[in-house]
Amino acid sequence: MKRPLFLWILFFVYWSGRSQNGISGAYYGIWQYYVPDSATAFDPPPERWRSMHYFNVNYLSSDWEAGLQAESYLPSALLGYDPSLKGTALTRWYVRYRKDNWDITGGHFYDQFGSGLVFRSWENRALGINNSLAGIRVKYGGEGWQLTVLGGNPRVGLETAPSSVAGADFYVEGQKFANNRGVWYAGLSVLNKFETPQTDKVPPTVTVAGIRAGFTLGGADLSAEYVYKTPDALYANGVVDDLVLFDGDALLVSAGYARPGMGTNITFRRAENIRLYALRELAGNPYHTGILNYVPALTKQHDYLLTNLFVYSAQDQISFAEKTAGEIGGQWDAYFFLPRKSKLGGKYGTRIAFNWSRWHGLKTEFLLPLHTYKRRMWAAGPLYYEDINLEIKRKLSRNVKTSFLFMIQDYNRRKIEGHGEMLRNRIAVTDWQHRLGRKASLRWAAEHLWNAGEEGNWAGATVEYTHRHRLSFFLADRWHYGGNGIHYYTLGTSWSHEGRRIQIAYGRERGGLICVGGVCRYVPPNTGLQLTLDLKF
Amino acid sequence: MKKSILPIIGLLFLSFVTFSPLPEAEIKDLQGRTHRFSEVIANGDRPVIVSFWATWCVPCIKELDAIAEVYPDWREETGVKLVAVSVDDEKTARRIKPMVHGRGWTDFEIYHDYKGELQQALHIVSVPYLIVIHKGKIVFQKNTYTPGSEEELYDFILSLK
Repeated sequence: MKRPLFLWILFFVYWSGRSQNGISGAYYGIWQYYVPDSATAFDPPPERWRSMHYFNVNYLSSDWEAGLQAESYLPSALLGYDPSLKGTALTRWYVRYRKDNWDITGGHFYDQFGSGLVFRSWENRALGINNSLAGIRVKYGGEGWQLTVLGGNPRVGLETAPSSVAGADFYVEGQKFANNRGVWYAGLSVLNKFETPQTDKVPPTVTVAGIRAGFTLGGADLSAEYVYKTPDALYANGVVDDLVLFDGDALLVSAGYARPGMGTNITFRRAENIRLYALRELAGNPYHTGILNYVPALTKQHDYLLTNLFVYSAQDQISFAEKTAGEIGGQWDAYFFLPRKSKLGGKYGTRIAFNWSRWHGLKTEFLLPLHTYKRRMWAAGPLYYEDINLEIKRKLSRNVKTSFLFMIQDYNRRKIEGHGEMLRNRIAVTDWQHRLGRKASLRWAAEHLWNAGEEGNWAGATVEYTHRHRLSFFLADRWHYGGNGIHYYTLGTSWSHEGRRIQIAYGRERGGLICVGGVCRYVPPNTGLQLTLDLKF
Repeated sequence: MKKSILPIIGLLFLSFVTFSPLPEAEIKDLQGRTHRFSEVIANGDRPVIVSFWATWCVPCIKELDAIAEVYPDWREETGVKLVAVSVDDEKTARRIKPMVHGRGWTDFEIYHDYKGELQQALHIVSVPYLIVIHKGKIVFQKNTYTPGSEEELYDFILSLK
């Protein structure tokens, strides 16, 4: 299977490339070589070389589109990815026809209803998520409205699950509202999952349905979505728990205002047992295999070394072991631009970003003999996460830019990682960027995390030099000097040009949650050499 | 290991043959109106820069900040248009509009690839990602930002006839 498939794809790409007939393609690959590390007591797996490869080929014409994706995990996926990813498979093929008001797809496809709380299928290689549906999707729409109907089998690992889903979404938007200054929209969506019941008390079908609406008027906007999941059996510790079936729901409300020079947004969400998986037995799996909807952690996505040590992930699930259920909370963002040549803004202007998020569990009372719980709909229980941060960015001269970030973070480690205490962190970051002539640049950042509790302090530093905008060298270090004294470092170089990129890095990974787009994946501690290649043709 | 390298070497060679058809996808503007990508990139015979960015991507923001400073001049001199397409998903999508206003990027056209359809079609796996479209073809692409590389981009725009 392995070699012939590669050869066929190569041949196909080459042949079609020569004919230059609306074909495009891409390749993305990661290799990792694991080495033993006495400092972290990391013992490499027996297969020290591991690699993951993704090939895509797409064909486009005016009405037709087709594509395929092949994936290879040789001999198996990197540590921290779903271990069932092994070998080579053609994981996606599709044909799509679009003409007039019709849009029809057969094969494997991705889609999203509303905010994704009802249904989202997507690919995220950094997280190892690919939950495409293999089936048929039909969209039909006109001016300002669209109906989507779809059905198929969700992808699990390299195969499709022995369950099926069917769903529909209806969306309508009005663009002529308040003298053309406003836009309103509304949508309805539903998704059914059919799975062979494990016991006769377990429902074969679980439905998630949602209603959403919103409007934008000038600089102001308001939107809301409510989603309900029908009762289903819980799954914990390898068993389907059908003693009591639990339903779930979520409410998301967001309001914002923006005008030149400033913008702000407030989002509130309450979520309780809303996640749906292709198979019950996949509930809560750390690789997000077979996830059917999207419940992101609504906190700021940080971009520095120490601000990403402790990251919140959404906690909508019911846990009898911990006697917790659901989450409630929100966040507030505000952005300001202090104008150029003003007293506070300086010569080039100053940009300020403020963000505050706070998340609690629901206030619950667990009635263990009855195997159920009561909760107050809108009351907040234990604190899970809080993050208040302020970032100031300023250009000091033609060649120097700088930014400062200060952050106060409370992180309920016991709840989020299953061990430890509440971490109260204070983090400061300074980031400097220098242009060295016309062709080179240097960036460096220094960071510190204060923790008076069991975790102890951390220090962090990054240096990056780029030559001719193509070749870069970087070094990053997170030093847990108030704890185990270990340096978690990465050292590497990358070259990129016209959509092609190659990177080689050697480093020691601390292990923990790696989060992208509000979804986190647990990565075990490891040390090794990594090579990444990204090509488009 | 060795076996897996061979086809990649082959692909490396192939990757130097560039030919890039433009996909179609639905994206939204800041008011929530749905647009087709083909309509968004219409700019007559003049080039269009499409910059893929995200509210959480530091180099993306640096790049747009840097271009924002010189963009009025670029536009006047070459008629080039910049379309900034956010790849934020639902976690961070509500930040797009406040950030755009709060950073003073009001000269750009801002859109949101809210379903990720366009990224998928263009095989974009990471941001920043920037392409230049001229006369219906992708004539330039890059996937990093370093300070000053906007000048290199502008030199390229100037070279387009």
